[in-house]
Amino acid sequence: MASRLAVLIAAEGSLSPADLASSCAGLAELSFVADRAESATEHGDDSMLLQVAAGLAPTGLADFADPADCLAAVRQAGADAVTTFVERLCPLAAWLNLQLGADGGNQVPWGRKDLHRQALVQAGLSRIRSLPLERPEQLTEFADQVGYPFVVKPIDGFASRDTWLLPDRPAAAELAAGVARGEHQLAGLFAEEFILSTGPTAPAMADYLSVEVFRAGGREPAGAFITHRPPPAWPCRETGLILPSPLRPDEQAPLIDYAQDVLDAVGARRGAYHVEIKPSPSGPETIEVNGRIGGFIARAVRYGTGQDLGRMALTSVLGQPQQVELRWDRCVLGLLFQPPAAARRVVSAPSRREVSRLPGVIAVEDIAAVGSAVHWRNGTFGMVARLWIAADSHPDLQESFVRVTEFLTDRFGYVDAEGQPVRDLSWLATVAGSAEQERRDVDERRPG
Amino acid sequence: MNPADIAELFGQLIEVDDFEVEDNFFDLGGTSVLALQVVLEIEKRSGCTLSLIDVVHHPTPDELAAVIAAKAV
Repeated sequence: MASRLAVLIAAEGSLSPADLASSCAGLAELSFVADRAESATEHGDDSMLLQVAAGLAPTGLADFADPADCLAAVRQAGADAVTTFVERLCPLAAWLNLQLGADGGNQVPWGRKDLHRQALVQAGLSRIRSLPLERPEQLTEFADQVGYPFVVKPIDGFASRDTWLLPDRPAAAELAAGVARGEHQLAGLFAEEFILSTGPTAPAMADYLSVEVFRAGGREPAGAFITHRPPPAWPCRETGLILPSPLRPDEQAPLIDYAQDVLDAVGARRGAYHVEIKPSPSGPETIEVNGRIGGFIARAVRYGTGQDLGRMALTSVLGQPQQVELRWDRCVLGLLFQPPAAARRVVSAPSRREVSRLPGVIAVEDIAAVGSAVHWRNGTFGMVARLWIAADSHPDLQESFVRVTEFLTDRFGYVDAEGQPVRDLSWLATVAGSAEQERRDVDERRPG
Repeated sequence: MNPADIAELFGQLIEVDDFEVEDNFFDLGGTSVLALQVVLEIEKRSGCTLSLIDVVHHPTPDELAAVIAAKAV
């Protein structure tokens, strides 16, 4: 069993160095390894990351593009196991664990979503057709087979970055033309059939959900839970997370079983995993599988239960079985407020203090500054506000969510690529409409 | 520095009104980078040198004031 754990870090990890230092206390000796190239930047998140990490635990530098250099850094740290909470570093962490004899039987080809899909299709867990892209003409050829809409995304992508949802032939032709003009590269992208859904997974929520799964050597009956999402922002951007699940245990069980099957199929045996699922007319379908806990979920669990999900994840990484029993005191929504797809720059924004005073808001982590550049291609991390809302019930949570969304929609201003003002109320309308529907559903369920 | 002073500092950094002495810095929006500023500000105001790990493991004004007091002994 590992007692000295090296964590590969970067700015976009789903657990920060501070989270890790707090969660790992007394569990294992912790060290960090950061990318030498990223740490060389003098400004921004990466340089601060290194300062923060070095203040928390021994921190080494390595060239993340050079696995042998990383192995030397990990050995220098005296680590007997490696993990990461950064999606793009999962393949490197897996390779390092293999070299250290600490792979725990894991065989997942992280960084290859196209291979995950193949494995799931072979295991009978997915019916989604996909195609690695090499030529622009393949976009329309693929659409001729599967129809519209369909999705184009990187095989090693994360957080919806560079993900296109192509609704029709003109959209596919426009992307193909962009490739021909050299604006986009097809190498490393693949096309996937759009997964049809059965509708919202619960009232006022998106039509997909995720399952966090903890494994210390294979399937564990009580090592998983479901997280829901608010409706996504066009084209494929996540807007937050909602916990706990309002589904009944008998509704949750088949979804969790499916996530466990998915992990078996891709070869995941030890660690913390995030499986995104869309219930479809033919049964649950996998959107994607990640080799780390989902972004912001540890924080949501902390706000809702006071429990340390990071510690649970690290316990699994270290191969120690556990019961994941979350005891919820309140409902929590992490809001990742996205700018309109046409927006390119923030021209007005509320202050953190104003937002923190809104009813139901319990924490404000970030508000984009006036002048910030924004672009939908940055995916989930293109958000302009990140904050937390809590309530005693899901309907109360939804009510605060709508009010906060109204406020942010009103107070954030943007311009497009030509400098023209951008205003888009469609997401607010979706959120408010969902809330109204939920109120009607609750009234109908209420005894006469 | 007493807990109330630290609560005021936390509130200024996170831009939150009425930060209480038992509130958790990270739970109310504090980040690792802001925690670095906490370390620097406390050193400037009180002369006490804290580490970042002190803030991570003692994230409330009450707890952090106790750490500062212990270091002063």
